[in-house]
Amino acid sequence: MKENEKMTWKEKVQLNRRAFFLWYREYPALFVSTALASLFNAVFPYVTLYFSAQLLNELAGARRREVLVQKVVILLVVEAVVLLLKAVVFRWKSAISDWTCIHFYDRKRQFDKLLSMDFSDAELPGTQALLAEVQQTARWRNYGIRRIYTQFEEFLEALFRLLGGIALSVSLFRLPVRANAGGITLLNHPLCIWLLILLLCAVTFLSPWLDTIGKKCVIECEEELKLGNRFFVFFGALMSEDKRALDVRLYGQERFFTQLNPIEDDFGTRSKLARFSRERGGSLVRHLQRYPGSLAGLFICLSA
Amino acid sequence: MFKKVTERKKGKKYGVFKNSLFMLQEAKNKVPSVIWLAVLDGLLAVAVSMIELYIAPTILEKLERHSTLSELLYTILFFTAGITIASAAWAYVRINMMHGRIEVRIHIMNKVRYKMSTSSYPLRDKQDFMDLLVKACDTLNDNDKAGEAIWNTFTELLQNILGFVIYLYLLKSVDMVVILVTIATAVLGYIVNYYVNEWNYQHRKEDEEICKRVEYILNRAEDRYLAKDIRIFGMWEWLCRLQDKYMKLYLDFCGRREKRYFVADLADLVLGMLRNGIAYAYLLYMVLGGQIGAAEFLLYFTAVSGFTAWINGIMNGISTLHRQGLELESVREFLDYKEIFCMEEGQLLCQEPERDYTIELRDVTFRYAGSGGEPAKEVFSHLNLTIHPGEKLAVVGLNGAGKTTLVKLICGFYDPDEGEVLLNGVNIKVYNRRDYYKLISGVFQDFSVVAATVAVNVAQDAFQIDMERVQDCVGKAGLKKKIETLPQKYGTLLDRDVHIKAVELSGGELQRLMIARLLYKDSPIIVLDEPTAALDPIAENDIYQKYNELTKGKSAVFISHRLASTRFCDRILLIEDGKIAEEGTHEELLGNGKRYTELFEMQSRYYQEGELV
Repeated sequence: MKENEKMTWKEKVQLNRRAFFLWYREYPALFVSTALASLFNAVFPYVTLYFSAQLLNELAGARRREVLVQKVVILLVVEAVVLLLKAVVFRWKSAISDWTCIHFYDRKRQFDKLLSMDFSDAELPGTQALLAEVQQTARWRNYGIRRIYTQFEEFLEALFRLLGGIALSVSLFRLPVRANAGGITLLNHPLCIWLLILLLCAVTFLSPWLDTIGKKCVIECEEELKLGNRFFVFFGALMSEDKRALDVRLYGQERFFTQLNPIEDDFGTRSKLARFSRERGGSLVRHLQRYPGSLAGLFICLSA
Repeated sequence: MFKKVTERKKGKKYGVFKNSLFMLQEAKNKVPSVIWLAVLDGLLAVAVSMIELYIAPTILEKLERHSTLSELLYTILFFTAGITIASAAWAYVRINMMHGRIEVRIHIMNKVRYKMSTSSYPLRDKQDFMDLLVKACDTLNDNDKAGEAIWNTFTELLQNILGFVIYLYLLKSVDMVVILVTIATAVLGYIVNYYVNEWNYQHRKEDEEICKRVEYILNRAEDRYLAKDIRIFGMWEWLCRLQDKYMKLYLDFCGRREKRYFVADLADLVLGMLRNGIAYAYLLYMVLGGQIGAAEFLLYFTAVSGFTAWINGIMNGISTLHRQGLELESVREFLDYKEIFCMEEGQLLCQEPERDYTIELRDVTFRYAGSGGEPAKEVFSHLNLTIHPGEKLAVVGLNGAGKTTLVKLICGFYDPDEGEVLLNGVNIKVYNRRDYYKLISGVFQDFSVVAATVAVNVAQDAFQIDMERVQDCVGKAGLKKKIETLPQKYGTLLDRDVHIKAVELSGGELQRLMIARLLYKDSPIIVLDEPTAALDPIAENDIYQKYNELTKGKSAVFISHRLASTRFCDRILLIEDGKIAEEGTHEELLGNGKRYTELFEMQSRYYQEGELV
């Protein structure tokens, strides 16, 4: 297998595509339910937002009793339908895709593969090492091939949210600021509108990009963290395995819990990851992530 | 198929409050920042929520009142800056809390591991002790389990209580009926959710049982010991069928669980509609009566929804804290489990280089507790045995005769039910048991190889290693040639499950490493319990001869089922039916022409016939 940094984008896309279809062929319902749940999750807030805005509009304007009652009833019915649909889809999705299910589906693939291999192939050190690496990656933050499913979910949710946002923003650009609004009328200028669109696009891409920077350290420390995880499992065995119990007591092997234990150093407050969170990864990235969104909000408020 | 197992409520020793205090105490001692970051997290969450609550109504109010542009601008800037800084600070606090919480959890986990590793050996046979261990580990082995997740519960409780108080103050001008309806719907919703969660909690054993079976079947494919059998006996299809069957059972369980959650969703929906309908009706009435404007309508309606969320949050928080408190109970019960031996206290026992040690088993009766209602099984009855200083003693006998149990009694892993084990005439019960273990070196049927370097495995210490002694012991054990051909030599890592670049030693090489470890410890008493069972008779004989040479001047107990391997010993005991059936040197026992002779001839004939074939 090629090292990640030596892979081209094309190869990465192909690998992800292969992983996606591997999952999709075996568990299509998983993807259908997830796609529907992502769609509902992303779009439904806009639906209720739209009807709430209609109600507020009437409240801030004419305040006609019949219209207000009608709008409240519509809002309540829409909310009920939306929640019902969300519940149906979400429960269907949860019934087939909770974390344990995904874990079992993933391991079933390894199970089938191993059992279909000849004894000599299955026993090859290379096969065993590869299997250990695959399992270690899966254990570590649920990465590995199962990640394609969560990526699919996150991607669809982001996409639908973006589309919903665009659909709602159309009215913002179609309603110009009143001519008597003084300096704010500058916002009617096409350049301003383009700037705003550009800003919204920047927000869309900047936040995940900054988030990636924030998570970069996790990837940089991956090997140390995986080692920490392996030690965690090893110490579990050292403590509890029957076959070790006599040696542990006779040779005082409990001393290794403090002498060899890298877990606190890898995951605790003195870890590289913690330092990164305190320094650039935390303060800078977490703040920067929020500024573009706030700037966009400022523009929208001014325009409104 | 599976019995629906429900958790029985039983009296708890510590309780939720004390267990919460325990966590706070552990954090205070290990990473105090965890506590104040949790408080800060709660405060910032409320701050963000408050800004979000006020932002839209305030701007709407300014617009309604046709405020000046600068006023509007300042308001927007104020809220934008507020929400940006507060949410960024909140995110910063959250990301930084994680490491401290992990450290506290690992710290407690290490206490559990230390306790388990240093506990009296017979506790391992106690089902309640082992059950507590499993529960304690389950509470601590994941970021989402009570050992770490309880911090989120503390934070959320603080946040929800603060939010509840503030929102209650905000809603003071709203009609009491609306507040009561809000509280009533929240409580009803909580009750429905509680019953659904309770179903989940009560059926977790069923869930665990099915998962265990699926995992078991999945693990068979990776079991290298079974790999041949699976292929020779064509067990693949059968395993696949079993896997499908249990997976179906699991999915069926998930389906049943989600159906119940769906009922809770429906209840939430109906109650939410009821609450919102009444709130809308009341607020519209106020708006149409001219008592409030659109901005207040928005503020109050958002506050009513938020208020429900705070109430739900408080009730869920209490329920979660209760559950996590119960889970932490097992950790504390395990840590406080009473020891049988004097592990930490007891009379100190210092090893003196020139001193002779005599071990005596006086009138020893020992029985294993019966399991599953079976009567206790007596292994030894009124056994008497003395191991003299410098003596080489062999213990032989058929499988199940009690050879390993005898070793465990000599080593102090078990105490006899009747009679006593004496060290130089003093009952070993009075000594600190860990000091007693320092007097003994042993190699047993299974070894505990540490995921560290060869040198650490020999010295059994990662900090204090006498490299010259390590090399000397490795040389005497006949492993020097192998170790010195490795690129990292004595720094070579072992255990490939932990270190990817570790070296795997063969069975014979591991044996020699264990000899080196035994020599390094340099204890006056040595015990070897069939460490060579997996080796052929010639290799076993070689290794036993090696032990014989290297342990000169020390008391040694050799156990083997191959009688020829131990004939160099000063004295041989044949154990049968819980008693010493025969005793003497190899020649004396052969001369007696009894059971030992019969067994020896049987084994010799087998090897001779084997050679002829």
